[in-house]
This record gives sequence, C-alpha cells and structure tokens, in this order.
Amino acid sequence: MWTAPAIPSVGPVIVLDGLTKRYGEKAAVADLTLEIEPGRVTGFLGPNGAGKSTTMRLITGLDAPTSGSALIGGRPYAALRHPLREVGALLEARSAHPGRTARSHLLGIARSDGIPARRVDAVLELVGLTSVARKRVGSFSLGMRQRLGIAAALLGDPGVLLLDEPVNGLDPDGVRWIRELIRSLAAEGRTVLLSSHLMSEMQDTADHLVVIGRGRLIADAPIGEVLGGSSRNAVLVRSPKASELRERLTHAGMTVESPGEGEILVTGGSLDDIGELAFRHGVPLYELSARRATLEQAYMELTAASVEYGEREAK
Amino acid sequence: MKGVLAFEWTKLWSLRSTPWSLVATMALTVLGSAVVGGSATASAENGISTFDAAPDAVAEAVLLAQLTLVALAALAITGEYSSGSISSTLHSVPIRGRMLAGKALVLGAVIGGAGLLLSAVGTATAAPLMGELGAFTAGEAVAAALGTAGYVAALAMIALGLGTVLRGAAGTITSLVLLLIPMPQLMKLSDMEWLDRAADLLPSVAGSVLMTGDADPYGPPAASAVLLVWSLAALVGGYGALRSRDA
Repeated sequence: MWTAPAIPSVGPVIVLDGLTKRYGEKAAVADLTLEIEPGRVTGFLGPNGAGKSTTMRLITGLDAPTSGSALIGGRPYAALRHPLREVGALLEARSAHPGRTARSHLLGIARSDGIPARRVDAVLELVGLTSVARKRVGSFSLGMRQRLGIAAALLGDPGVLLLDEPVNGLDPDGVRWIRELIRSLAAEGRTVLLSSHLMSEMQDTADHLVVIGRGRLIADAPIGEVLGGSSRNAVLVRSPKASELRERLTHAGMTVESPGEGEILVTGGSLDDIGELAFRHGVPLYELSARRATLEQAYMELTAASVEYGEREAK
Repeated sequence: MKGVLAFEWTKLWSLRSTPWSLVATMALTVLGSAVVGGSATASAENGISTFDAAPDAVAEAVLLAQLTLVALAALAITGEYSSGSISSTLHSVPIRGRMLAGKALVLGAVIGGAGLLLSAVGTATAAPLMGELGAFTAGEAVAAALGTAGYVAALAMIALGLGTVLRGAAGTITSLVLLLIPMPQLMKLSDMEWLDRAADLLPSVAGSVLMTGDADPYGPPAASAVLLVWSLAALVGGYGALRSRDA
C-alpha cells in the first residue's frame, strides 16, 4: 500500500532564512526571511519582477541561492527523500514536452518515485483531463497545460504545494475550480504557497499574505490585517445635512471627503462613532455603510514605494 | 536509482522521435551495408581488394548512420531544456548527478543495444552480396557487434555530456557532426605530424578500429580506452555544468 509520508503539520513548514539571489549587480531576491505555516493558503504577491518565481525556484532547488537558505521541513529540497510526495510544484506552464501525451508525461514522473499508475489516472480525473489523457501536450491550450501542471503537482499527494500563477489561462469555471481545490488542500492541513497577480482571486483564496517588492519583504501578515491597515477603509454617509455633518466629523478629528452631492466619505471613525455623533446633533442619515478596501487597493498602497522606485530607476 | 531509470526509460520511449530515429539508423545501416558490400565486390572483380570481411563493410555504413543515434542521444537532454520539461525532471529527481547517471545508463543500454542489432543486420545484408570476399568467422562477427555497440554507446555519452553543457540541440548536433565526419579528414590533410597523430585520437577513428578490429593506427584495446576517455570527459563536463548552473 502506497501512502504519502506526513510532513509535520505544526510550526513553519517552509523556512526562508536570508534568502538572496543575485544576477550580477541586480538582486532578484534580497535577504528574504520568512516562515510559511501549514493549514492555510499563503498568498504570495508582488509586482512583476519582484522575485516571486525566483523565490519558488530557489525553494525547489532549480536555482541555487547566492546566500541564505530555503528549507522544507528542515531540509533543502534536494535532500528530500521523496520530493514528489512531500512537495508539489507548479512553477511554469511549459514543463511538459510537447511530443509526449499527458498521461505518459505524468507516468514518467510517477515512476521516478514508485507512485502507482492508478494515481496518474486519479489526478488526470481530478483535473478534468481524462478525455485528453492520450493526446499530445503540444496540442493543449494554456488552460489545459495548467491543469496538467496541477495534476503533476498533486501526483505524490504532497503536504506542501507551491503554485506559481495557477489560474493563468483558466476559464472562469477553471478559476473557481482551482480556488475550491486550493482551499480544500489547505483545509486538509497542507501548506500552500500561492502566487497570483489577480487580486480579487487572491482575496478570495488566501488566508495569509506575503508581499514582496524588488526582492524584499514588504508585508507578512494575515489578509484581514493587510486589508484593515489600508487607508482606503472608510464609511460612506448620505445625509440631507451632509455639510453640517462634515463639519462636526472634522471637528471630531475624522477625515472627510465629499464624493458627491449629499454624500461624504469618512476615514478615521467607526460606523458606531459616526452614527452616535449624527444622533447627538440631530442629523438625519439616509445611509451609513462601510466601504472596505479591496486587496487591490491595500496592495497598491503597500507596493507603491517599490513600484515607484522601479520606475524611477528604469528612466 | 531504480525510479530514476524507470523515469528516463519512460521519457525516452514516450517520444515518437525515439523509435523513428532507431528505425532510420537501421535503414541507413542496411542501405549502407548493401552499397559498401556490393561495391567491394565490384572493386574486387576489377582487381582492387578493399575489404576482407562483411562486418567491415558494416562499419563503413555505421560511420554514416551514427548521426541519427547522436541526434537521439543529444535530444534526450537538449529536448528537456527546449521544452521546459527539465523543471519537472529536476522536481522529480533533484539530485542532478543521479539524473545524469540515469540518462547515461538508459541511453547507453538502448543505443548500445541498437549497435549490436545494427552490426548483426548489417552483416546479414552485406555477406550475401560479398560472397567469398566477405567471408568472416563467428568470432569476428561477435567482435564487430560488440565493437559497434561500444562505439555507439560512447557516442551517446559524448552527445549527452556535450548536450548537457550546451543545452541546445542545434549546437550540440552540429559540433558532433563536425567532430565525427570532417575533423579526422581535415586533420589528416595537413603535413604536420602531430596533427595527424592527434586525429587518431578522435572518436570516429577509434570507433572504426573498434568496429573492424584493425590494428591501424592502434588496436581495439587502445581504441576502447580512447572512447572511454571521450565519454568520461563529456559526462564529467556535463555534470559540472549541471551542478554549477541554474536549471
């Protein structure tokens, strides 16, 4: 009976310590120190060229770090006894030879670690490629290649998953499918590191966020904290006495903008504070609602500095 | 290591180019053996004796047909880089020396096995055309088959090692074609003694000795040593490149 070995499910599973990768003068990843915990989806965000893919390549040993280390369960990737059963990775869509069929691509990988052929058929079924299992990868669309890459990552039923832009090329059904798959994998106690440039997707999928810019760590926090820390969290108030309320709120130390006639947007105060203040001054309210920052807004604020720097340097 | 071998074996045989290049090599060998065997007979009728045994005619044919085997071995590694499948290969087998050893063993066995078959089928093609002229003993036939297997297996190692260093199919195959065919002839053209001597150390010259059992410019044991050095040098070079470079 074949079973996947368990990776300890308490404490950090992936530990990056001072991880640095330089190409000549330019650092793709600079002194990245990070712990990735099991049982949740860690979203990995950053502008293009921030070093997300390089970090994942360093974790799996495809590239060697200039300094620092990346350990999985305390060991470097190359020292894992059964790498496929411990770590599943989807790093690029182009990782299967176009001349091979989907099934033979997976079968070869499976045989490298004694994973039975029925597991190949099971993952093909799981990703919805059973009907094209014997077709050549060269004839596949980008979405189908992504599914094949996900199948390869899941082949060894690993406790750790590294997924670089897995929704690339997937249709809306595919996007929803992978979101649910990723959520369920994390719910089973697995460690999932997911990079995506689709903010709304990340907001729906990740529990924890790691944001990097220009190879450096910008944020490492639960998603709620990242969203809560945004200055774009505000309260929308509609009132026939908007201008009077505006004065009172400003007086109470809140920041107020007027996006439209009879409407004000308040930051620096809670729904309760504003509601009570309006009541005390007899200001009628037609609407009092929270405007939460989207991940995109929070992310733009976080990375503004690093993107700006990048642009300035490019000039 | 068992898993690595099964992985490489599966990858090799799951590409259509593998059986096709083996079939093409066989076709070229049969054709070449027939032409060389037939023309040897014709030459003898005109009083010029060029060959003394049918397996020697096959050796001539293999020196032509070898290029498809070289391409097969080179593609086993360069195809991984051009298709991007090297990343899934190294995810599965992260210890790079083990990956290279697996490829070397599988290619050596498949291409060496093909060499045995080429020699046998080529001899069977040339012998009837050569009649008395091509007479050979069973021992000569076996030595020729083993020599051919050894030579083409060595070519596979050289192609694998060089392909691992260069990563591209075009550069690897072009370099090897130049090394195997025009190089020995060009080097022999010069008047310089040392260049002439050096040409004897090229793989195709050693391969020719190994396949025919000739004693010129050296015997089969020396030829085996020359090919072994080429194979090891290529594999060590490939290993060094794999170890020191990012995938």
